[in-house]
Amino acid sequence: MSEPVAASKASSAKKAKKSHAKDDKERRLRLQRGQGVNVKSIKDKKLKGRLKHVEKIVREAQEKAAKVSEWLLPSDTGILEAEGIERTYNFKQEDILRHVEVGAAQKVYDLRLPDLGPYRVDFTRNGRFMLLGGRKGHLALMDWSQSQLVCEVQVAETSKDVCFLHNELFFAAAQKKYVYIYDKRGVEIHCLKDHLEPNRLQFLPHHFLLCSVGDAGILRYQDTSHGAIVAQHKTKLGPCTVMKQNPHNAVLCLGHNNGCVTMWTPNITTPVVKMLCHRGPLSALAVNVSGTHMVSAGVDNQIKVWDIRMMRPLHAYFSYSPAINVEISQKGLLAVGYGRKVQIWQDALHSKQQTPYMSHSLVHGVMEGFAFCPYEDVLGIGHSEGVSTMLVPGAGEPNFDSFVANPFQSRRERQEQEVHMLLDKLQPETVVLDPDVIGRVRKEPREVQVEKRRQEEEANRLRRKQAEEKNDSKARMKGKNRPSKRHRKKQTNVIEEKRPEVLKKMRDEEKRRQDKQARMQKLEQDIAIGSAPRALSRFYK
Amino acid sequence: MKYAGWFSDEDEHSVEEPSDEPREDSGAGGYVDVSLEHSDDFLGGMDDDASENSEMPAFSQEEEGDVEKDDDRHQRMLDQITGKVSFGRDSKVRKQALKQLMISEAGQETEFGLNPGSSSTGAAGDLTVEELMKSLGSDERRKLTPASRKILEHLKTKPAVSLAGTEAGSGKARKRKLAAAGAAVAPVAAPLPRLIKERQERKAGYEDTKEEVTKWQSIVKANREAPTLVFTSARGEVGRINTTQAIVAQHTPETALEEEVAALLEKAGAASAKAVQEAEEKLALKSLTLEEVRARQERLAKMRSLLFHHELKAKRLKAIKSKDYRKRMAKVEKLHAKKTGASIADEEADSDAERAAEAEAEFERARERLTLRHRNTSKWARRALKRGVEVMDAGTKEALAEQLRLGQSLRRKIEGKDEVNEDSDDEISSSEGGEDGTLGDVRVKKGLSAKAKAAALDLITGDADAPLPKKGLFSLPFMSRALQKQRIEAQETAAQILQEDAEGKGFEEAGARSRPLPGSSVTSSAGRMRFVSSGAPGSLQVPFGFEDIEDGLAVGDAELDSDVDEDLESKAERLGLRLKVREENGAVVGEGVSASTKTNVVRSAGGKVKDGRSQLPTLEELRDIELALEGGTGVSMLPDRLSHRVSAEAATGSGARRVETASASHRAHFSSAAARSVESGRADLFTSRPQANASREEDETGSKVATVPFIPSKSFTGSRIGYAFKNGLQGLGYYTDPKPGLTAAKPTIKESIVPSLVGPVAVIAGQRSKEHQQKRKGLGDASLSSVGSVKGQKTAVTAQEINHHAQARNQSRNEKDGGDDSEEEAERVKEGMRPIGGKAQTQKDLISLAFAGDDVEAEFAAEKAEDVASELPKIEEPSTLPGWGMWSSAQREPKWMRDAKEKAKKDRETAAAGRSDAKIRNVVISEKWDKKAAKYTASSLPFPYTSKEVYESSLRQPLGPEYNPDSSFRNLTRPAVLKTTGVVITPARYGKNTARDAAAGITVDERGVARVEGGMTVLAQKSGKEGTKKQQGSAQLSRGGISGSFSKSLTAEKKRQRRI
Repeated sequence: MSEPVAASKASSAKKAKKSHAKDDKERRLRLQRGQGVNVKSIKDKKLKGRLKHVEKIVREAQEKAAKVSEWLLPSDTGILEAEGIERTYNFKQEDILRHVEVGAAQKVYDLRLPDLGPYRVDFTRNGRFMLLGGRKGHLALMDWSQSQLVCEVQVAETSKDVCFLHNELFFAAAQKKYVYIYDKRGVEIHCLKDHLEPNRLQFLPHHFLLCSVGDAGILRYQDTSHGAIVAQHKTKLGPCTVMKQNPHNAVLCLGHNNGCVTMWTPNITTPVVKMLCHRGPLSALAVNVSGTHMVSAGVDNQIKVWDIRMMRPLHAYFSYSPAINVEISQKGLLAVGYGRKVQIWQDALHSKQQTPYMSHSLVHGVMEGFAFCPYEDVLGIGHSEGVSTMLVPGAGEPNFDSFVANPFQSRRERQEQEVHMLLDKLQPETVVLDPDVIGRVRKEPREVQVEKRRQEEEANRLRRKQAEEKNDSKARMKGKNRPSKRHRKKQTNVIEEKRPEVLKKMRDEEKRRQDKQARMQKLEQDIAIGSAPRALSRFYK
Repeated sequence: MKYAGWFSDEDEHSVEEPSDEPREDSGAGGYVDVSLEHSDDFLGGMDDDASENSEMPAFSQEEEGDVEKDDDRHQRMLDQITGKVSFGRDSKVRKQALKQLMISEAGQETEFGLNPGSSSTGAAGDLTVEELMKSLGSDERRKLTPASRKILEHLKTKPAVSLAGTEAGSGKARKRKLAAAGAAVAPVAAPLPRLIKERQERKAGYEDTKEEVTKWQSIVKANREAPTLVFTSARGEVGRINTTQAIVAQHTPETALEEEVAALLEKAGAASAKAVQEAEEKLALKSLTLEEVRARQERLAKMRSLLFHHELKAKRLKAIKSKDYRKRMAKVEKLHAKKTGASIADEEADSDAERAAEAEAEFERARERLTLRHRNTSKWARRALKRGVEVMDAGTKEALAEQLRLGQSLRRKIEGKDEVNEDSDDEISSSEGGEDGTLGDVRVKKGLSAKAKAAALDLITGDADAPLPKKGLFSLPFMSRALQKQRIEAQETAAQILQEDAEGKGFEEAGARSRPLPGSSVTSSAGRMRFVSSGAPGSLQVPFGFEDIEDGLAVGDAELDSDVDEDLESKAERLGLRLKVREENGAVVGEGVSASTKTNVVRSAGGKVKDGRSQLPTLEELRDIELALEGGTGVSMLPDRLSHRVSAEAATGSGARRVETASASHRAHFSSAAARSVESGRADLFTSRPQANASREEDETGSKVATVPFIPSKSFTGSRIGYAFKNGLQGLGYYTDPKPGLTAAKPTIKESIVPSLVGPVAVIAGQRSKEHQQKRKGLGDASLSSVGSVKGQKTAVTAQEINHHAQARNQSRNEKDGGDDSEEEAERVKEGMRPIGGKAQTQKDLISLAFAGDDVEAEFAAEKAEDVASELPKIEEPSTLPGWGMWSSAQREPKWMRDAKEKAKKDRETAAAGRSDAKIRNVVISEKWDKKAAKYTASSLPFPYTSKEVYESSLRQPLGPEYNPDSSFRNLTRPAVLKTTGVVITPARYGKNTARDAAAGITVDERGVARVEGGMTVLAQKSGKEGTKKQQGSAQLSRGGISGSFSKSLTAEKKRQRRI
């Protein structure tokens, strides 16, 4: 058997170097964000000059970034390569371990925790820490690559899901009745009583939102920076056990029992997208980092890949048993778990693959949940007998950006980053399906425009009224015709408003006068009649 | 010539005025002008005039014959003076003129007495400058300045120099001429109309200003176009007042008061520090002799120089950065200190202790002051008092009384009466520290006073049976529970004290009688559901403390304590303290090591042997295993409840051992504590209160094995099973731990990390599980024998059960998955996900068959239609109630209504077709107006933009440092104007070079920064020499940073060289 080339940063050196110029161009193309401004079409000279300058800087920035990335992002992802008639899915973990460096081999281990499982796993955003959540209340936070336990708690009740908050200092657990937040010493610091009977948790790191969904099917967003509940949406689709966030736009995807996937933002009380994906309950969901593809698995034994920009199905796979969990790695590897098996698929999102990339079965235990470790070629698998890790060459992003996530960050850096994260925190309202829309021109629908106009008018009217009231108090007979007075009158539009009243009054007056006259005439007549002899009264008519 | 002719001329002029002649001409003979420049004009004018005059006769010959004569004569005279004979074109006139000349000029009389006829020119009557010059003597001629001589010679060369007046020239010129000639006043021309004059002035001004402004244009343009302007001028001139001295120096008295003060100071000679010093010196010198003064000055000078040198030295030493040096210096200092202060050290030690005591006292005092427990001023107390004493229940009364007592004692202390009753005060103050407000624990140091004893007895006998309050706050279940617990605790302590006191006095009966429930182990079991790892639920209770959060109760002491333990232990662990285990403990526990852990350890060890892989990280693990075998830290494993139980029981075993070795003084207590431990069993301990009570009763009936509730220890000497190290009621030491699971759980994960055993383990997994079972069982037995209770067996059995259960579960799952280990290899690919197609198509059919009952798609389509309908814009549609508004015979909608409805329908359809999800099946994309997100979008194009595309593409590049290289980020976000605070922006000055540079567009550097210094744009930096630049023939300029960094100029230089 030939040696599989395992994923490691060292192995990249073996790769043949491509020509630099081509790389540079590729990188620049990658860094380009759409077409530049067409400066020629601009008439305004000032704007034209400014945009020209900006465009120049942007162009330079792209070039510089392309050049820098050559030096700063040296690592390429590794891959398993088979020779001859070999197939990569036949390589076992021990085969791979034999050929990787010692450091990488140390990352593979089994954690035997047979009694409080099955376990769910979560990683911090920098991939440094692992969070284990046993179904029966065992929560443990560990520096997994060092096999160092940070803290451990036994909460003595069902815990259905765990997730990290913005860094390893805090984590949340969905327990039997409420969601709890623990710190890194394992001390319970919050009990979120608004989140009733939660099943799944997700944390939106840029918005500091902790989201939960549970048996009641109510999706709740809680801001962990100030603690307020930001939104609560009733899905009205029954208990929900599948939730994943779209890392691109922070939209939450929920999988329901009627085979629908719904996508939610905190702004709108109804789903922004509702799509029928399966003919039966959803069992798992995954969205890739760039937010282009979604993978859904249902109990109808189907696994479907969706283009979630177009909301169209791309291709479907079939499995003999329903997939328990689905995950997509940073580099787009798809992991699917059934029972005791995990299959890793390469390029499964873009095109339909015939065979898996890797296949692995657990030594003991039944799969519960797994997660790819960011910036590492490792898949952490939680199962009924504990937690295991496996090597998946080519899973993680090989180059990290310390502005985003730094696996080697020191305490100071972590503190610094925390402050920066809070300063750069996005408001919950910025969660929209297409985040590029922010800052752009959006035409308001007619109803909104009408409403806006109405409000403006109302405000104006109020202002006028107030001004008028203010004037009335100062009304004096002397100097009625002063210029200031006249001006004020014009401002308040008194004439316009009082005119009908005055006219009405005049009319009334006129009428009354006429009535009076008529009455008087009649009276006179009556008197005349009265004074006449009775016999003659019939002549008065 | 007559003077009258002059006048007549005047007259004639005035007559001729109204004629149509131009004004300039009319003044022709009006005055004599010595104009050298305009002589030609003048002559031309003369000609014209003459001809006109000659053509005039028809008009005035007969009537004004003599006038004309006069005129002619005058003309001739003028001609003579100017030296130019210019007669009219008419020969007759000329002749006549000549004749006249001959006749009239009889005498050759001129002003200068010259004979114009004898002139060299030959022309009679011509006066030339040459002739005038001749009149000067040679001496006089010599006296002339060279300049004037030159002018005169120049005049000589000119063919004709006229001294006649001129007609042409502007008003200005005329004036000048007049002044030059010093001639008589001539008629001044009427000024121009104001409008025209002003227009002319404006025009001239405009020209002038235009010129002035145009030269700035390039500079202004460059400055306007520069994305950033940096004003660097006068940066050094910005005054910085940092010190008080500087402020004082700048201060000038302004207000009346200030002035007054200043005057007074001045008067007193204390206006400045210097003045004061001088005055003082003067004063000092007054009383000194000359020698003394000299000596003093010398002394001062010496001191000054010494100080200065010392300062220098200190500065030098301070600047030394060597760590080694610092270390050595520190050592030397230490040594020095030791040498000098050996005796002082003892004192310091004493003073340290004192200081600590002082600090403690201070802390106590502060706490007292903060809590104000010695006063009845707290909210609770006030409320209670307000409600009235008669309504108060016993507990409240007691609490209030306690507060009063505290206050009294304090007051007594303050008044200095505490010496009298020191003991009792001590008691009280010690009880202050306790957490319980109602019953302070009464502690006696050496022998109990009768009073204390009585109190203790009282507590034990009386209070326990006292009925709990039936009403009020304390009747609430949790309060009463807490009250009860507190009482029991107090009783226990009291009993303990009595016991201690009555050692050797035969006080055992009292102790036995008062054996109460241990505070640490009493918890109620109400609360959440717990998990038991046994397969038979309900058979065992989890020996864990719980958090009764739902009730919002005060958590039991035991729990709080356990939290504290956990912290201490975790801290110890974090600090890297290896947990040491005592030999005796280990020996005992070795037997009772938790089954699962041991198997785990063995398994990991076994795995290693079987693997035969040496490169794995084993060192740490081996150490852990060792530890585990010792029975110390690694004994129990958190998730494994059974292990807790077993190990806990093992601990009790150890406790039993300890009983034998324990001191006699504690024996009675041990036995009492032991009584509750094993008999009741852990399960009972953690059941609800009645059960606990029952167990207490059981305890009283008699017991065999004991556990120690508290082992005093000054410092943490390693973890003990079933114990927690903490600072509790009885001081620092090991207390029985109500939550052994949590404390002993720490190392579990570490233990259970089994290095990758993927392949081989898979093969031997089955075997091992069997081994595992056996080991478990065996160990269970072992622990059983060591403890001698039935419990162990039970655990072993449950362990087995669990194992079976788990296996069964796994098997069932495996079966469900359809996987068998042997077949897996072959089925590896088949089993998982696979693409649909071909054969899978039938599967699809199968599924559709299976789900044939529910038509999901149709349901979804209906839902979609509903959703879409709700989101469509509201389109008004006329509607009628049937039977209303029309005749009964014509129950039909009118046409307009039908049309409107149709139109509305069509509108709705088009709106629906325009939706983004119109053509996608099974998808609804909401098009609701997102009001909240709308504030992050622009409702219309912002000002300078006119096209949406341009605006949106200008937004495409993010500005943040995360997305741009550093320099680009700074370039993108640099403000339009940069200026140091305080810098005065001076008005712009014009410079030709600046203007040129600005026109060439090189004042702005590549970052878009234009520096403006002293109001003048300057080039940031010019590279290379001017000469080389010119040689290159290009305006290549390197524009570096503001600071003109050296590296930049270097690179520019290199670039240039490369180009060459």
